[in-house]
Amino acid sequence: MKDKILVILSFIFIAMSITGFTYAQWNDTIVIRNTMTFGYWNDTLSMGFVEPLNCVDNEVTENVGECNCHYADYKIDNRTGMDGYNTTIMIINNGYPGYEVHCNLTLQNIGTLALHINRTVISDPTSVLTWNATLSALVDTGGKPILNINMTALECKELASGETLKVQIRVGMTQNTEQCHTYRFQVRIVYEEA
Amino acid sequence: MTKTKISALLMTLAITLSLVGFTYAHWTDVIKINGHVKMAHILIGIKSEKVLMSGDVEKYSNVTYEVSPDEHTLEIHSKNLRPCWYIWVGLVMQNQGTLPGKIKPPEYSYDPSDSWGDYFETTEYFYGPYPENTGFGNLETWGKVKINEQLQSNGTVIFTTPSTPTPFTLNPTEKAVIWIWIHCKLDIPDDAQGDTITLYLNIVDDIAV
Repeated sequence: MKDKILVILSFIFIAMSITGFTYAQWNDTIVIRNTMTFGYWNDTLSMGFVEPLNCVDNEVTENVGECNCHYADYKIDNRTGMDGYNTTIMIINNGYPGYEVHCNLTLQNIGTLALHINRTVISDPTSVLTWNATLSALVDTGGKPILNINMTALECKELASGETLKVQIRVGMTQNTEQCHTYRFQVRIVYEEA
Repeated sequence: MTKTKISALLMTLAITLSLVGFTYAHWTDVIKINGHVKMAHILIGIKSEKVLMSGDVEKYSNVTYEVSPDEHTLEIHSKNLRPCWYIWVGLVMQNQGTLPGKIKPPEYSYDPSDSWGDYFETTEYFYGPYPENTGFGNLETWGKVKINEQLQSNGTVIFTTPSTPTPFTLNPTEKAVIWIWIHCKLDIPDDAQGDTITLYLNIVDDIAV
């Protein structure tokens, strides 16, 4: 057994010595040029937010609360040439109990593959609030609803390449919201190949 | 031999799982909606105050007052009250919040006991709203107001400016004037004669949307 181990170790030692010697020799004078070509996926899976996008609130006569929305994180699909955005940003200022914002946005399959929306996940990125699906609201640690969030049902929706889908997200501030406070929410739309 | 088989199986499993993970990661993706909600605030505070007494009342009663640090409450400490005792309290209130506020009559509370409210009657008059840069020194309802002239001993007022019915809306930065007649209508109990009674005038914040 010992002999066997000795033979293996000697073999490794010799191999390494030869490698070192060879490397030293090459390092001196030889330049190796080579071209490597990698394969690529022919199909692309990509969904993005596209125009039209608009944001309205529930104020009729007053103009107290402010809402604004825009897209960010531009992307283009090289296979189809279609473009879109990875992120929608909704900004609500001067909110108060009863204030409600409706954001109408558009999704488009900008890739080559048909896609299937798997699920939507609503959360607070700061982890202060938690999502309560029964109340359809982000709730505080005491379970009181803070932000009511209602959204067009997207689960199981399929989009062929180039197809668009209109989505509405409604955010309402409840009586439990605090003055001067800033709340955050995030909706993740998870999709996969159909 | 068995060990080698198990190792081979585990290796195969690990490789398969990593491939599955890679494939899944490659064929699923996520887009996001990020929301940012900043809430407004409401704050109607006392920016200026006057407590006026007639010469007759000044002869026997001592009154001091102060505004609370949060500008929400005026504390009035009064001594030697009698049934004819009265004062006029003037307040300039400003909406220092970001929401329109509703101006309503203040809430009254008393120390040592709220039951002291039974001994008093109050009448309020509201004026405004006025823009923030209004010159209050020359304002008919504030600048040169005197007791027994514009402010009568029976709780009535003589202003050409009509009073504003409540509730009314005070937009952010706007101001309003309130005059309150506080009158001691009953003889206070014997055991409380000479005691200091504190009256709290609390401004009520209410959203006007």
